[in-house]
Amino acid sequence: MTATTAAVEVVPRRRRIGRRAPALGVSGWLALAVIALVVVMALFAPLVAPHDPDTGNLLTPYAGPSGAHWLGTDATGRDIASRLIYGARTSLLGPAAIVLLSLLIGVPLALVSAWRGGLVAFVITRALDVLFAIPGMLIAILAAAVFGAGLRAAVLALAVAYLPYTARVIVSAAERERRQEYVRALTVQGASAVSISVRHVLRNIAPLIASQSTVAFAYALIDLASLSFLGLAVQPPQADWGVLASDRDAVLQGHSMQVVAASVLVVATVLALFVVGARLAGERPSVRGFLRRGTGR
Amino acid sequence: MDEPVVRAQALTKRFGVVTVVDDVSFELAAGRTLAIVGESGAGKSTIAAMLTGLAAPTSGAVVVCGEDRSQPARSARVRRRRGRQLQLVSQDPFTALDPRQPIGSVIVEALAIADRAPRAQRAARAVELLEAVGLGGRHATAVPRALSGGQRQRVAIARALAAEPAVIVLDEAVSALDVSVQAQVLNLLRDLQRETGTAFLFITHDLAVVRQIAHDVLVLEQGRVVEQGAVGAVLDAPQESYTKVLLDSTPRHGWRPKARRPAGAAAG
Amino acid sequence: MSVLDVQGLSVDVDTAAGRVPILRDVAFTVGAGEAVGLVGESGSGKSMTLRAIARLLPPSARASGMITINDTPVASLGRGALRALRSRELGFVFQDPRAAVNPMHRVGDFLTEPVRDRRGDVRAATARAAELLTRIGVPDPERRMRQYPAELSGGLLQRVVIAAALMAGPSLLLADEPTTALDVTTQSDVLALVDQLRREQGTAMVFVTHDLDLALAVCDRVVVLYAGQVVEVASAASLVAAPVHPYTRGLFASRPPLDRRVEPMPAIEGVPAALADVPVGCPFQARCPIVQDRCRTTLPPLVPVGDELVRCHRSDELGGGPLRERLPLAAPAPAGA
Repeated sequence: MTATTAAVEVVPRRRRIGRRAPALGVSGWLALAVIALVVVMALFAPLVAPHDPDTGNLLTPYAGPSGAHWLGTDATGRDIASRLIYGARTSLLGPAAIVLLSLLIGVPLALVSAWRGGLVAFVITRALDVLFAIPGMLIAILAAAVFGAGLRAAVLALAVAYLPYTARVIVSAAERERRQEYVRALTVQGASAVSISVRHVLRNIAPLIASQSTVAFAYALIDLASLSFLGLAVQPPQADWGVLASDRDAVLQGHSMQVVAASVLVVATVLALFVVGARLAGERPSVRGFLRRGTGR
Repeated sequence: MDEPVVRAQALTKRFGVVTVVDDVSFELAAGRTLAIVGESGAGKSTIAAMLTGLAAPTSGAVVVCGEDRSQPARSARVRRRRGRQLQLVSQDPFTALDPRQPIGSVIVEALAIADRAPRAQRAARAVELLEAVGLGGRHATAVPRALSGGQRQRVAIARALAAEPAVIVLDEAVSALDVSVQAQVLNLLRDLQRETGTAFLFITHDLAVVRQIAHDVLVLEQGRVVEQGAVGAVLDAPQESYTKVLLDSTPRHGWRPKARRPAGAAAG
Repeated sequence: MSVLDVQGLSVDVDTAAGRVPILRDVAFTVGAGEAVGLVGESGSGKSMTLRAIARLLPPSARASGMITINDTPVASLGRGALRALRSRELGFVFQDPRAAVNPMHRVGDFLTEPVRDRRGDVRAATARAAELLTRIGVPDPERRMRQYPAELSGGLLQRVVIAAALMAGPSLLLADEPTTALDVTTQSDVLALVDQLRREQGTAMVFVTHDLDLALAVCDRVVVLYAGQVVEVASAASLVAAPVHPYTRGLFASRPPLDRRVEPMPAIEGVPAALADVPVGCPFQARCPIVQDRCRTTLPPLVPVGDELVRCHRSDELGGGPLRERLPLAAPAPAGA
C-alpha cells in the first residue's frame, strides 16, 4: 500500500452547525404525554373506565360530578367519563384507518410518479389536483348520502379526500431524492427502479412521511368528529367524541359538562399531534414560531 | 488486448437546435487514462452521460468493451451488465452517497448488483475494497454524514471498483476536494490503476490535474474537439490557440492573471 | 491609517451540541489600496472571518475581538450607521452571483438601486454603471443593463456583481471565492480587470480563496488560516520564494504542478481539521511531519520570522535554519529554474 493508506485517520465526528436530532422541548414532551394518555385510554378502556359506557341508570340522569361519576351522567344516566374513555377508541381508530389507507395508496403512487416522470407523472398529478379541488367534507357528505351514514363510508370518503394532501408532499420529496447523485450512481450500476425507490428513496423520506401523517391524523380526527357531530359518521348511541360533543339537548338544559369535556379532548389531542408533527419535522420549539405559522391548510 | 475499452465515433448530441457535443471521436485503451478537458458548455458532462447510458447520442456511436451503447438500456439486466463494464464517480461527494446508508452496506450492495461476489463473501470483500481505498474496516458502519468529502469520494471509488469494471468515468471527481486531499486521491487513483489495470476516463477543467493523472488528453471547446494527443505533447507544445489560452489561464507557481483584451476597449 | 484592522477575532457558534469554536485570535490589517488574501481549506474559518468583518454572522454566532474599518469600530455601530458603512465603504462579492442578484429586477436596476434608495442622480449612476461594466469586460453594457439576470451567463453576471460592488467607490472590497464558480479563462480575465480597477480607485480588498496560487497572484499579502487560526502571514513575494510554516509548505507541495508529472505527489497526511477538533496545542499537530511533544500541549504564538509572521514552535529552525532542508515538503521549483 502507499503512504496514503497509512495517512487516513479516523476523522472525529463532524459537528455541523445546527441540530442533528429533533429536539422535543417542553412542549414536545407535554404533547407526547397527552397523546400517550389518550392512547392508553383507548387501549385499556375496559380497565380504566369506572363504569360500563352503555348501561345507564334512568334514576340518575344529568347527575353532577361526584365520587362515583367523575364527570356526572348524561340524559339516560350513563357515566360520561366512561363514555369519553371508550370514545377514544373510535375517535382514534377512524383517523388511523384514514391515514393508513391514504398512505397505502398515496405512497406507491407518489414513488411511481417521481420515478417515471413524464406522462405518468402528469396524469397522476392532474388526477390528484382534481381531488384537491373538491372539499373533503363534501366528498364525505356525498358518500353519506349515497351509501348511508356510518363510520365505514366516512372513513373511505375521507381517505380518498386526504390522498392528494399526503401524495403531493411525498411526490415533491421523492422527486428531490430522485435527482440526487447517488440515485444516478445506483442507476448506472444497474440497480432496479423498485429497489432504489424502496431501499433508498423511501427510507430517506420516511421521517417526512411520519411527520406528515401525524398532522394528517389530527385533521382526520377533527373531520371525523365533525362528521359524527353532524350525524353522518359514527351514530349514537356509539360513544365517540364527535357524537358526545353534539349533545345539544343537554346543553340547552344547562348540562354542558359532556360537550365541553368531549371538545376539550378533541382539541387537546389535535394540538398535541400538531406539536409532535412539527417536532418530527425538525422545527425548533418556539411559541412565537407556532403563533406566527398558524395551521392553515 | 487490442480492442480499446471505450471507443467513441463521431459522437454528437443535439438538444433541439443546440448542438452540445459535435462529432467527437476518441479511444481509450485498457489500463490507461484519457482526460477530457474543457470549460463550462464544452459538453464534457454530456459525453459522460452518453457513456453511462443516462443520455442517448443523437448520432454517432459509443462502444464499451465491444458492446454498442448507442441505445439506452431498457432493462435492469442490461444496465447491470453494463455496470460490470463501466462505472461512474461523480463530482459532488456530498450527494453521491445515500446519506443514511452505512458505507459497508454501500459496497455490499454494489457487489450484489454487479454480482461480483457470492453472498457469503460480500462482507469480507467489502472490507477489502474499503482498505484498498485507504479506509478501514472500522469505517464500515460509518454513515456518509460522519465522513469528510475526501473520504466520501474514496467510498465512491470503492463502490465503482466493486463492480470490477474495465473503465471508470470520473466526472470532476477531485474538483470539490481540498487541495491537500486532492493530492491523496490522485495518488490513490494512480496506484489503483497500476494494481487493477482499470482504465480511467477523467473529466476535468484543471490542466494541472490532467498532467498528473492522464496519459492522453482531449481538449473540448463548445462541443468540438480542438486538440488531442499525449499529455506531454499537448501540454508542452500546444498547437491550437484555445489550448494555449487554457494553459495561460491555469493558476500555478509564478502565474499572473491576464485580461483577454485591454479594459475599456470593448465595442461601444 | 489602515482601512481594515482585525484584532483578536474569535467566533463561537451555539448549536444543540453546545458551543462550537470556529475562529480563535485572528488578527491582520489591510492598508489603503492593498489586497490581502485569506487562504485556507475546509474548517479554516476563512469565510467566517469575512462575514465577521461585515457583521454578517449567523444569529447563533458569538464574536469577540475588535474590528475597525477606517478607524470606526464595527461591532458598536447601530443599524443605521452599519447600513451607511456597508453601502459607502464596503463592497461585497460572493461566490454565487445568482444568489446575490434578484432575478426579478433588470440588471440596470440592480446596479443603480443604492443610488435610487438615497434619491441620488440616477442618470449619472446609470452612466457610471455602463462605464464600469465596460471596464470589467461586459460588452454592449446598455443592452445588458436592460436584460434580466437569467439572460446573462454566470461569468457575465459575476462581472455585474463586481461592478455593483465598486459603484460607490468603496474603500474596501470583500470577496469570498468570487471566481471559484467561473471558468479559468473568465477567472483570469476578471481578476486582471478587477486588479486594474482597484488600483485606479485605490480600493483595498480582502480575497478569500482555497487556491494558494490564485491568492499569491492577486494579492499583496496573504494570511494562511488553518483550523480557525492564523498560521502564517507574509507578503506574496515572500511566500512565493520561501513559505515557512509546515502547513503552507505542505500546501505548496501538494498542488499538482502543471509543467511535469510528479510521482507520487507529496501529500499532507490526514484531513483538514476544524477548530473544534483541536482543543489543545498547535492546530496542525495531527498532520505535521516535524511535530514534537510540546506541539500537542502548548499553542505556539505568532512570531516574526524574517518579514513574516509564523505560528510554529520550530519557526527558528524553519526560517533559514537546519530544518529548512530536512523538511520533506517544500515548494517545487519550476521546471528549468
